[in-house]
Amino acid sequence: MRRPLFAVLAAALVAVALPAAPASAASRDGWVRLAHMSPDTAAVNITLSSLNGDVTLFRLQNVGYGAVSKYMRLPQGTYALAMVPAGENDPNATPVVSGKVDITAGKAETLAAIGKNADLKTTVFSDDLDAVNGGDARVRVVQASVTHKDVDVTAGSTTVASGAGFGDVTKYATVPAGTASLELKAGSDTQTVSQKVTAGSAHTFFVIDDAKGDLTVSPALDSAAATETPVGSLAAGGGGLAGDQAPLALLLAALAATGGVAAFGAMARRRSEVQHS
Amino acid sequence: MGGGAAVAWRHATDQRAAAEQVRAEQERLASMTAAERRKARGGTGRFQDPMVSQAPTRSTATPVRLVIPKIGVDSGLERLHQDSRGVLVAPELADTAGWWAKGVVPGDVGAAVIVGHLDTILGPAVFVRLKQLRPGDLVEVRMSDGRTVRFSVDGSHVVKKALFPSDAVYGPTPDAQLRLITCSEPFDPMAHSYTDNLVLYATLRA
Repeated sequence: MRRPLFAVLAAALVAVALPAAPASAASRDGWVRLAHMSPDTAAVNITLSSLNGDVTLFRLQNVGYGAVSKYMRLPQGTYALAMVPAGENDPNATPVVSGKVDITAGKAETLAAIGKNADLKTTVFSDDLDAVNGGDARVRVVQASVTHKDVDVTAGSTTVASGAGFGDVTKYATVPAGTASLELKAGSDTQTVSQKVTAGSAHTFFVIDDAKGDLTVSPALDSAAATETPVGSLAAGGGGLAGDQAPLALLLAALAATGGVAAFGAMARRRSEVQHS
Repeated sequence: MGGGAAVAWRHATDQRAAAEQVRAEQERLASMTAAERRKARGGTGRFQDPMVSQAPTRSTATPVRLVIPKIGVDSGLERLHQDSRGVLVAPELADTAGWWAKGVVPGDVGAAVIVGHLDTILGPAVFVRLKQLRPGDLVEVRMSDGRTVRFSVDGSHVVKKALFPSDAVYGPTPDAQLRLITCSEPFDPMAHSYTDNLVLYATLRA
């Protein structure tokens, strides 16, 4: 009787040890994306490097006004960014603008260059990775227009931004998925733009100026997920390889059989009782 | 001369060099016309129309094949669905993996989900060697439009089925990711099922 007992104990230890296995290697990483929102600055080359500048991690070429990069994945830490004019071939050229960004594990950040060329600056804000309900989408606005102050943005009946000043980042508002009609208002200026918003997704709309100085938007997808979440876990095994567990399996099967006999006996007894009453 | 003095001397030299560089840059800028200065800063002198791209929509292509060279997986893909209780049903065939068809399309932003059996009562199934994958390993998904979408393994996780991490597996992501799911030991012969799931996380290769 000693061996089966030992087998049971060993199985219990294995079950306890498994959750302590090393966590996903992905868990130390975060994300950053870069945006060029300066209306009178030509396309730029952007480098993202370690803080001391020794290691270049990402290099984006020819990023034009209004463009938002894809997310780049980086280990948690602080990184340096520099933008130089796209035509500039001198690697030591003075950057048009430079900045820093802190990456936190599991979080996504946006670093945007905003303002006119003469007083360009960078701003960093965090992006939404929270789940969105069912058929809805989430939207927010980054007010980067250099010519309009106090911008209001509505999506249908939902207010997304109210009196947003230059550089303001609104909270996310929930809107129905589909085509959102965004109304951009600053004083007497009003522009309406249609934007697709996807169920289960979060979107950022950068409010910026076009060549005529009118308000317009540049959209970016912050995160996406399926519109529903399956319930629970997956049953994806039949047990044919669970050979190590055989002594335990036999023991438990034997127990089950004994229990089954007892249960069958009880059921038979009750039925006979019913028949006799 | 002591070490401290040497460091101080070098520091002063560095500072002088840096100041020299700043002065040279200032002189260079001062010698330029306003237009040249603006050009050096990438200024256009006028507003431009933005380069605007619409947010991406769901791909119409579907995944048709899963190839994982390191562990010899080369499988067609069933389309998986949820049962009436909302539970995702594993593939019908032991040697074929399956893609959750209502979920994210591999290569789109979000986490696409592919499930395969570890074994059957008779022996090994398609994902029997999944636990041998390590960070950086390649996972390929062939699409119905002829594209191949390539992912790199980020890591894996053994989880109790009762504590299945739905948020981490199905929740929103900012980039294109893939989840590969199978069963993991220990086996519970009473329930005739494994008590754990192995979840493998992967991200689209740049």
